[in-house]
Amino acid sequence: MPVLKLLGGLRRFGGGQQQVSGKTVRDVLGRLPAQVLFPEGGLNRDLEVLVNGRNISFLAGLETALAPDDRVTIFLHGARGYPGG
Amino acid sequence: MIGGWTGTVLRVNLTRATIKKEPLREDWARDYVGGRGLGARYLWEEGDPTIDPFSPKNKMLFVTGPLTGTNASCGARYMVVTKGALTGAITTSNSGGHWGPELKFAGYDMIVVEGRAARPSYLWIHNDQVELRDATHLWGKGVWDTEEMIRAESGVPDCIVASIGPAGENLVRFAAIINDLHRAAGRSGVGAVMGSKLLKAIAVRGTGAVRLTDPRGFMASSWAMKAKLKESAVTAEGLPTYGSEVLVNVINEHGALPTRNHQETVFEHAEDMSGETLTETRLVANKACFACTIACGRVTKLPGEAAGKYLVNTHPRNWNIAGEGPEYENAWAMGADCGIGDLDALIKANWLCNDLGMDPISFGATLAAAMELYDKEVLTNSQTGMPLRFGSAEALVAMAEKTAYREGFGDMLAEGSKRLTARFGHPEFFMGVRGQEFPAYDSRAIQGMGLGYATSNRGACHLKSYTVSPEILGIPTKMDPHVTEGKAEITKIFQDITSAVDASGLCIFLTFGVGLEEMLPQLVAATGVPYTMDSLTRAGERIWNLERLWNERAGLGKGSDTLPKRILSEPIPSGPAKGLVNKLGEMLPEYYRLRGWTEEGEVTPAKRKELGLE
Amino acid sequence: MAKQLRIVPEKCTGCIQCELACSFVQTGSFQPARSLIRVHLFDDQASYAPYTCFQCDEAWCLTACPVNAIAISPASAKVVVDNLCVGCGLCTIACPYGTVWYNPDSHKAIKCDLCAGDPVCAHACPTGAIEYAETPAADWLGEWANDLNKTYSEIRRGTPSHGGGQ
Repeated sequence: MPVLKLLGGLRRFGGGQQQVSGKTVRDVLGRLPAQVLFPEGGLNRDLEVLVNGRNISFLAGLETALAPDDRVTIFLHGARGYPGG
Repeated sequence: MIGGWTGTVLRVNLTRATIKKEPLREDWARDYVGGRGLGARYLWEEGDPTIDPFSPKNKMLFVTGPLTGTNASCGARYMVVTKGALTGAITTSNSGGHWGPELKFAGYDMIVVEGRAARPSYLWIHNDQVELRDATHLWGKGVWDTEEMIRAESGVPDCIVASIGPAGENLVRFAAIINDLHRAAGRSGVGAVMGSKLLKAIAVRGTGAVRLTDPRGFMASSWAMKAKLKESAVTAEGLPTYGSEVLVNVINEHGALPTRNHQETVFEHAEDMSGETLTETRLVANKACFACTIACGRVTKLPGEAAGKYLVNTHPRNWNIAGEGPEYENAWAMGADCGIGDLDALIKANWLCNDLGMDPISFGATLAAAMELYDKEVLTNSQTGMPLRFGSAEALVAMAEKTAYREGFGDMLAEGSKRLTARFGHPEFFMGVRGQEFPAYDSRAIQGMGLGYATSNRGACHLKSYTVSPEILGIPTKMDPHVTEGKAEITKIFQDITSAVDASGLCIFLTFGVGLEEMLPQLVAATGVPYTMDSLTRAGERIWNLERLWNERAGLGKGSDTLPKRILSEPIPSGPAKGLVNKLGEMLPEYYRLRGWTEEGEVTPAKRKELGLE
Repeated sequence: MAKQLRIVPEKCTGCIQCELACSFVQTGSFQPARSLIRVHLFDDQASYAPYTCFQCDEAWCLTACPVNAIAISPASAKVVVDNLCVGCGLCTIACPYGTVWYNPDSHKAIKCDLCAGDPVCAHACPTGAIEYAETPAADWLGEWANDLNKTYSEIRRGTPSHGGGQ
C-alpha cells in the first residue's frame, strides 16, 4: 500500500507516516478533511503534493496513478512572494 | 533629508583611536537604498579589493537600512560589509535581533571601522557619547559572558551588544559576529575580520527616534503588510510553529538534502532532526526579532540528561538555561551533512557556535569534508586526535570547541574546507563556491540553485537567490526543480529583488509571505524618495553589479562561476533525484546574456553606464 | 467591570510592536524609549512580557500626587493632566510597578492612558499577548516575576530547578 507522509501543521491530521489505500493521488487525499483539501472542489492552493519526491504538477496532477510502494508527501506553503505571484 | 535615516555616520579609526561623526551620503542612500547596497557603495569608494582580509586596511561597515528601527514587520536588520576572511570576496553578512534598530535610536545610520587597535578594545555608544574602551579583560571570553560583563560595567543594562567570541579572536576563517546572544552576522568570516582588528564588541544604547517623511502613510502600509503576512501559511503558521527547520522534511522528501558531504541527498535520520521533532520535544517558545510579526526564532532547552551527555570543557553555566536554535541551515550542516541525527547534539553544538562566535554552516560543512577524508583513510587518528566518523555526535561537539580555540585538529578545521581539503590533496571534496561552503540544498536536485550558488557574489549562498521558493515551495508559482529552462531568468530576478530587500533593512523571510509590492509603499512613505517597482528593482541590479565589479578586482569574477566536480558530474546515487547532476553549462550563458555581461561573464562598460557605475 | 489591558505573557514573542505603536502615538516617530508600555526580554529564561500601568484600584500615583494632577478618564484609566502636572516625580516613586515615567523633554509625568479607550498596543500585538477586555485589576505580574526570580537565583547559585546536569 502506498505510504502517506504529512509534514508540518498537517500532522494534526495524522501523525508522521501512515499506510493508505488508493489508486490515484485524488483517492489518497480524500482521507483528509474536506475543508483542507477541496474548498472549491480542487486542491487547496496552499498545499503541495509529491509522489516519490516529484511534485504532482509535473506528473499527472490529482490523477497521478500510484504504485503499491509509492510515497505521497503533502506539505503547506505560502501563496505569495515575488511580483507575478 | 531622506526620512528613515538619522543622517549621521560614525567613522572609527582603531589605529589612531579616533572617532568622527560625518554626514551620510544621501545620494548614495537614494541610489543604493541602504543596508547591503549602501555598504557596497562606501566599500567600493574606500576599500581595496586586492588586500588580505586581515590587513588593517580592510574596512568593516555596519550598515542599517532606512526601514531598520521602524515598525515595518521584520524591520530589524543590519549588514556587515567587508572583504570576507573565508572567501576574499565582498561579503554582506546580515543579522537581526535588536542591534541594528538600537544603532538608529542612538542616532547613527552606519559605523565605518578602520585600522587595527593597539590592544583589545570595544566601542561604546550611548546616544551622543561614543568612545573606545579597553577590552583586555573581555578578550578570551565567550559572547554570552562578554554581553553580561559589558552590561554590568557600563551601568546601562539595556544596551545591545554585538561581539566576537574566541573564534573571532583566533581568526577562525568562518568566525561570526553575534548580537543579542544568539543572532548572527554569520557567514564569510566577518567575525575573524573584527578579531584581526582587536575589536571585541560594539555596545549600543539609544533613546532617540527614527523619524519618517510620511508617518501616517507609512503606518497604513506597514499595517497592510502585517495583515498580508498573517494570511500566508508560511509566515503565519509554518515559521512561527516549526521554525526554519520545517524545511528539513520538505527538502529531504524532494531528495535534495545533502548528506555526508554531498555524497547522497536523502538522509535516513531526517525526521529525528526535523522542525516537527524539535517543536514536539525541545522547544520552549518561539521568539521574534525587533518588530517582527513572524517570530521564527526557536527558544530551546536541553533536559538534564541530555545536557550532561557530551563532555564539553568550557561554559558549564549555560547548559541549564534556554538558548536559541538550531535553524535549518545549522541543523543541516552539523546534522545531515555530517550524517548526525542526534538533535540534542545539534542543539548543544549550535549553542557552542553562538557562544564561541562561529558560523555553524561552514563549521559543519568543513567537518563533513574532514569526515569524508577520514572515511577514505586520508586522515588518521594521529592527525585528528579522535575518530571523525560520519554520524559521530561526540566528534561534532568536541570539534566545535577545538575549532574555535584552534586546538589540535581544530586548527586545520578553522581554515575552512577549501583550504583543508587542498592541504590533504583532495580539493574535490570541497563543496562550495568562491571558498564558501554550500548551504542546505543540493543543486543537482534543484537546478536553479546551482546557478545561484555559482554566481553569488559572496560565495555559495542560498539567501542571495532563493529559487527554492518557486522550485520547491511553489512561491510565487511552481517551477520544475529538475529542469534548467527559465532558471537563468528567475535567478537574475531573484538576485536583483533580494538585493533591494537586503538594502531596505527588512528581513528576507518576509518574502515567504509578501512581495516587493508590499515593501515598496513603506519605503516610499518612510524616505520620501519616489521609488517605483522598476527603480527599486534597478537599484537591486545596480547593487548586484557593483558587488560583481568588486569581485572582478579581487580576482573572483567570471572564472569563479563554477560548481564542484561532484555537483557537475557525479549523479545523485539514490532517491527522488537519482541520476541527476547540475547542468550549469545550460544556464550560465543565458544568465550572462540577461545580465548584459560579456560571454565570459564580465560587466560591460555599457552596463556600467546604464546603472550609473562608472 | 471596566475594560483594561489584559496581558498574556506566554504569548509574547518579544517583538516590541506594542512599544513601537505606543511611541508612535506619543511622538509621531518610532522611539521605544518614549513608549508607555515596555517589554522585558529575559533572554536566559526565554521569558518575555509587556507591562504597563495596571490601572490598579489602589491608584498609588493618584494618591501620591500633591497637586491632584492625576485623574480618572472616561475609559477608566488613571491619566496625567498635563497642565496641572508640575513634574515633581512623586508618582513615579509611588507606583509599585514602575509604570509611571518622567519625560525629560516635557518635564511631565507620563503613563498609559489606554489611548482614550482604543489602545493601539492591543491592535499592534501580533500574537494576542495584549488584549483590551473586561478584566479585574489583578496583579498578574507578581506571580510571573516570582517564578522568574526563583529560576534565575537558582541558576546563579548553581542549583538548577529545571534539568539536572550542569
